[in-house]
Amino acid sequence: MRIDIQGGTLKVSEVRELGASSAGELKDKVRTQLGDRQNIDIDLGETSYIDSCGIGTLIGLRKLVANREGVVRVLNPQPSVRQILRLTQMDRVFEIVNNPP
Amino acid sequence: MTKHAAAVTDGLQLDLPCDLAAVRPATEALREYLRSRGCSDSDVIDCELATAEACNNAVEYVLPAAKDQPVRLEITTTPSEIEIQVGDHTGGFTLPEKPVLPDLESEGGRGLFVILSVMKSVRYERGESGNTLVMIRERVRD
Repeated sequence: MRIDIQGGTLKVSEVRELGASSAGELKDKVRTQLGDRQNIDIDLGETSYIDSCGIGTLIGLRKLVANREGVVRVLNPQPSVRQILRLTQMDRVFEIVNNPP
Repeated sequence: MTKHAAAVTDGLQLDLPCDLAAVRPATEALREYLRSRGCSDSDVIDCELATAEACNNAVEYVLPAAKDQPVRLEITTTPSEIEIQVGDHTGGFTLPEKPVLPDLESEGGRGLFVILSVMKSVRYERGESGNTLVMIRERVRD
Protein backbone atom coordinates (compact mmCIF):
# COMPACT_ATOMS: atom_id res chain seq x y z
CA MET A 1 0.00 0.00 0.00
CA ARG A 2 1.30 3.43 -0.91
CA ILE A 3 0.31 6.83 0.46
CA ASP A 4 1.12 10.12 -1.26
CA ILE A 5 0.28 13.68 -0.33
CA GLN A 6 -0.98 15.93 -3.10
CA GLY A 7 -1.81 19.34 -1.61
CA GLY A 8 -4.92 18.97 0.47
CA THR A 9 -5.48 15.41 -0.67
CA LEU A 10 -4.10 12.17 0.70
CA LYS A 11 -3.90 9.56 -2.02
CA VAL A 12 -3.87 5.84 -1.29
CA SER A 13 -2.79 3.44 -4.02
CA GLU A 14 -1.34 -0.04 -4.56
CA VAL A 15 -4.13 -1.60 -2.50
CA ARG A 16 -4.21 -5.30 -3.35
CA GLU A 17 -7.28 -6.24 -1.32
CA LEU A 18 -9.84 -4.48 0.85
CA GLY A 19 -11.42 -7.19 2.98
CA ALA A 20 -12.13 -8.00 6.61
CA SER A 21 -8.53 -8.87 7.43
CA SER A 22 -6.87 -6.10 5.38
CA ALA A 23 -9.13 -3.05 5.61
CA GLY A 24 -7.97 -2.19 9.12
CA GLU A 25 -4.44 -1.49 7.85
CA LEU A 26 -5.74 1.05 5.32
CA LYS A 27 -7.89 2.74 7.93
CA ASP A 28 -5.03 2.99 10.42
CA LYS A 29 -2.53 4.33 7.88
CA VAL A 30 -4.91 6.95 6.56
CA ARG A 31 -5.85 8.13 10.04
CA THR A 32 -2.19 8.37 10.99
CA GLN A 33 -1.14 10.34 7.91
CA LEU A 34 -4.21 12.41 7.09
CA GLY A 35 -3.16 15.34 9.28
CA ASP A 36 -5.24 18.41 8.46
CA ARG A 37 -5.91 17.41 4.85
CA GLN A 38 -9.49 17.51 3.68
CA ASN A 39 -9.74 14.93 0.93
CA ILE A 40 -8.88 11.29 0.35
CA ASP A 41 -8.41 9.61 -3.03
CA ILE A 42 -8.42 5.83 -2.89
CA ASP A 43 -7.06 4.26 -6.06
CA LEU A 44 -8.53 0.78 -6.44
CA GLY A 45 -6.89 0.17 -9.81
CA GLU A 46 -4.83 -2.67 -8.35
CA THR A 47 -7.53 -3.96 -6.04
CA SER A 48 -8.84 -7.35 -7.07
CA TYR A 49 -11.08 -7.93 -4.07
CA ILE A 50 -13.39 -5.94 -1.82
CA ASP A 51 -16.03 -7.15 0.62
CA SER A 52 -18.59 -5.46 2.86
CA CYS A 53 -15.94 -4.82 5.53
CA GLY A 54 -13.88 -2.97 2.94
CA ILE A 55 -16.92 -0.95 1.97
CA GLY A 56 -17.53 -0.17 5.64
CA THR A 57 -13.98 1.13 5.87
CA LEU A 58 -14.55 3.47 2.92
CA ILE A 59 -17.69 4.77 4.64
CA GLY A 60 -15.70 5.31 7.85
CA LEU A 61 -13.10 7.37 5.99
CA ARG A 62 -15.88 9.38 4.36
CA LYS A 63 -17.24 10.28 7.79
CA LEU A 64 -13.74 11.21 8.91
CA VAL A 65 -13.30 13.88 6.24
CA ALA A 66 -16.97 14.92 6.13
CA ASN A 67 -16.38 16.66 9.46
CA ARG A 68 -13.95 18.96 7.66
CA GLU A 69 -16.10 19.28 4.52
CA GLY A 70 -13.81 16.99 2.56
CA VAL A 71 -14.63 14.12 0.21
CA VAL A 72 -13.45 10.58 -0.50
CA ARG A 73 -13.08 9.72 -4.18
CA VAL A 74 -12.74 6.15 -5.46
CA LEU A 75 -10.41 5.93 -8.46
CA ASN A 76 -10.14 3.32 -11.21
CA PRO A 77 -12.08 0.40 -9.70
CA GLN A 78 -11.75 -2.84 -11.65
CA PRO A 79 -15.00 -4.26 -13.09
CA SER A 80 -15.47 -6.83 -10.30
CA VAL A 81 -14.97 -4.17 -7.62
CA ARG A 82 -17.18 -1.69 -9.48
CA GLN A 83 -19.89 -4.33 -9.60
CA ILE A 84 -19.89 -4.65 -5.80
CA LEU A 85 -19.86 -0.87 -5.36
CA ARG A 86 -22.91 -0.72 -7.62
CA LEU A 87 -24.65 -3.64 -5.88
CA THR A 88 -24.32 -1.90 -2.51
CA GLN A 89 -25.23 1.48 -4.04
CA MET A 90 -21.87 2.95 -3.12
CA ASP A 91 -21.83 4.56 -6.55
CA ARG A 92 -24.44 6.91 -5.04
CA VAL A 93 -22.23 7.72 -2.07
CA PHE A 94 -18.77 8.09 -3.59
CA GLU A 95 -17.55 9.97 -6.61
CA ILE A 96 -16.04 7.22 -8.78
CA VAL A 97 -13.45 8.48 -11.23
CA ASN A 98 -11.62 6.66 -13.97
CA ASN A 99 -8.23 7.93 -15.12
CA PRO A 100 -8.21 11.22 -13.18
CA PRO A 101 -5.88 13.93 -14.53
CA MET B 1 -6.76 -24.63 7.09
CA THR B 2 -7.41 -28.33 6.64
CA LYS B 3 -8.56 -29.87 3.37
CA HIS B 4 -10.90 -32.84 3.41
CA ALA B 5 -11.47 -33.03 -0.32
CA ALA B 6 -12.04 -36.77 -0.16
CA ALA B 7 -14.87 -36.40 2.33
CA VAL B 8 -17.22 -34.86 -0.22
CA THR B 9 -17.59 -36.63 -3.53
CA ASP B 10 -16.42 -34.32 -6.29
CA GLY B 11 -16.54 -31.36 -3.93
CA LEU B 12 -14.29 -29.35 -1.65
CA GLN B 13 -14.43 -29.26 2.12
CA LEU B 14 -12.28 -27.00 4.26
CA ASP B 15 -12.00 -26.45 8.00
CA LEU B 16 -10.88 -22.89 8.73
CA PRO B 17 -9.51 -21.68 12.03
CA CYS B 18 -11.94 -19.21 13.56
CA ASP B 19 -9.83 -16.24 12.48
CA LEU B 20 -10.54 -13.50 9.91
CA ALA B 21 -7.04 -14.00 8.49
CA ALA B 22 -8.05 -17.55 7.48
CA VAL B 23 -11.01 -16.44 5.39
CA ARG B 24 -9.20 -15.09 2.34
CA PRO B 25 -7.01 -18.18 1.81
CA ALA B 26 -10.18 -20.28 2.03
CA THR B 27 -12.08 -18.19 -0.52
CA GLU B 28 -9.04 -18.28 -2.80
CA ALA B 29 -9.15 -22.09 -2.58
CA LEU B 30 -12.86 -21.92 -3.40
CA ARG B 31 -12.06 -19.72 -6.41
CA GLU B 32 -9.55 -22.23 -7.75
CA TYR B 33 -11.96 -25.11 -7.17
CA LEU B 34 -14.81 -23.36 -9.02
CA ARG B 35 -12.49 -22.53 -11.91
CA SER B 36 -11.43 -26.17 -12.07
CA ARG B 37 -15.12 -27.06 -12.35
CA GLY B 38 -15.54 -24.76 -15.35
CA CYS B 39 -17.57 -22.08 -13.57
CA SER B 40 -17.89 -18.68 -15.22
CA ASP B 41 -16.08 -15.57 -14.00
CA SER B 42 -19.40 -14.17 -12.73
CA ASP B 43 -20.08 -17.31 -10.74
CA VAL B 44 -16.58 -17.34 -9.30
CA ILE B 45 -16.63 -13.67 -8.26
CA ASP B 46 -20.09 -13.81 -6.69
CA CYS B 47 -19.50 -17.11 -4.88
CA GLU B 48 -16.16 -15.90 -3.56
CA LEU B 49 -17.79 -12.75 -2.21
CA ALA B 50 -20.80 -14.51 -0.65
CA THR B 51 -18.54 -17.09 0.98
CA ALA B 52 -16.27 -14.42 2.38
CA GLU B 53 -19.25 -12.61 3.88
CA ALA B 54 -20.62 -15.82 5.41
CA CYS B 55 -17.24 -16.84 6.84
CA ASN B 56 -16.54 -13.33 8.17
CA ASN B 57 -19.87 -13.44 10.02
CA ALA B 58 -19.13 -16.94 11.35
CA VAL B 59 -15.84 -15.66 12.80
CA GLU B 60 -17.04 -12.27 14.04
CA TYR B 61 -20.10 -13.59 15.89
CA VAL B 62 -18.71 -16.88 17.21
CA LEU B 63 -19.76 -17.74 20.75
CA PRO B 64 -16.85 -17.23 23.19
CA ALA B 65 -16.86 -20.91 24.16
CA ALA B 66 -16.58 -22.01 20.54
CA LYS B 67 -13.59 -19.95 19.37
CA ASP B 68 -11.49 -23.09 19.05
CA GLN B 69 -14.05 -24.71 16.76
CA PRO B 70 -13.34 -24.51 13.02
CA VAL B 71 -15.58 -22.86 10.47
CA ARG B 72 -16.50 -25.63 8.06
CA LEU B 73 -16.84 -24.76 4.38
CA GLU B 74 -18.27 -27.21 1.83
CA ILE B 75 -18.66 -26.57 -1.88
CA THR B 76 -20.24 -28.82 -4.48
CA THR B 77 -21.19 -28.19 -8.07
CA THR B 78 -23.56 -29.67 -10.62
CA PRO B 79 -23.81 -28.60 -14.25
CA SER B 80 -26.56 -26.14 -13.26
CA GLU B 81 -25.84 -25.11 -9.67
CA ILE B 82 -23.19 -24.34 -7.08
CA GLU B 83 -23.94 -25.15 -3.45
CA ILE B 84 -21.89 -23.64 -0.65
CA GLN B 85 -22.37 -24.48 3.01
CA VAL B 86 -20.78 -22.51 5.83
CA GLY B 87 -20.99 -23.94 9.33
CA ASP B 88 -20.89 -21.59 12.29
CA HIS B 89 -20.90 -21.71 16.07
CA THR B 90 -22.65 -18.41 16.65
CA GLY B 91 -25.84 -17.72 18.52
CA GLY B 92 -27.57 -17.78 15.14
CA PHE B 93 -29.49 -15.08 13.32
CA THR B 94 -32.78 -14.56 11.53
CA LEU B 95 -32.40 -14.69 7.79
CA PRO B 96 -34.44 -11.93 6.13
CA GLU B 97 -36.75 -13.00 3.33
CA LYS B 98 -35.49 -10.28 1.01
CA PRO B 99 -32.15 -8.50 0.76
CA VAL B 100 -32.36 -5.25 2.70
CA LEU B 101 -29.63 -2.69 2.23
CA PRO B 102 -28.76 -0.79 5.42
CA ASP B 103 -28.57 2.99 5.53
CA LEU B 104 -26.00 4.15 2.98
CA GLU B 105 -23.96 5.79 5.74
CA SER B 106 -23.82 2.63 7.86
CA GLU B 107 -20.36 1.08 8.21
CA GLY B 108 -21.72 -2.46 8.59
CA GLY B 109 -24.67 -4.72 7.97
CA ARG B 110 -24.20 -5.41 4.25
CA GLY B 111 -23.02 -9.01 4.45
CA LEU B 112 -26.41 -10.72 4.32
CA PHE B 113 -27.59 -8.23 1.72
CA VAL B 114 -24.70 -9.23 -0.54
CA ILE B 115 -25.28 -12.95 0.03
CA LEU B 116 -29.01 -12.75 -0.70
CA SER B 117 -28.38 -10.57 -3.74
CA VAL B 118 -26.00 -12.93 -5.54
CA MET B 119 -27.50 -16.30 -4.61
CA LYS B 120 -30.60 -17.99 -6.04
CA SER B 121 -31.64 -19.34 -2.65
CA VAL B 122 -30.32 -19.16 0.88
CA ARG B 123 -31.44 -21.01 3.99
CA TYR B 124 -30.17 -21.13 7.55
CA GLU B 125 -30.28 -24.38 9.48
CA ARG B 126 -29.91 -24.25 13.24
CA GLY B 127 -28.47 -27.21 15.11
CA GLU B 128 -27.45 -28.13 18.64
CA SER B 129 -23.80 -28.48 17.69
CA GLY B 130 -23.72 -25.57 15.25
CA ASN B 131 -25.62 -23.85 12.47
CA THR B 132 -25.24 -24.01 8.71
CA LEU B 133 -25.84 -21.37 6.07
CA VAL B 134 -26.69 -23.08 2.78
CA MET B 135 -26.27 -20.91 -0.32
CA ILE B 136 -27.27 -22.07 -3.79
CA ARG B 137 -26.21 -20.27 -6.92
CA GLU B 138 -27.64 -20.96 -10.37
CA ARG B 139 -24.69 -21.15 -12.72
CA VAL B 140 -24.52 -18.50 -15.42
CA ARG B 141 -22.45 -18.37 -18.59
CA ASP B 142 -20.25 -15.32 -19.25
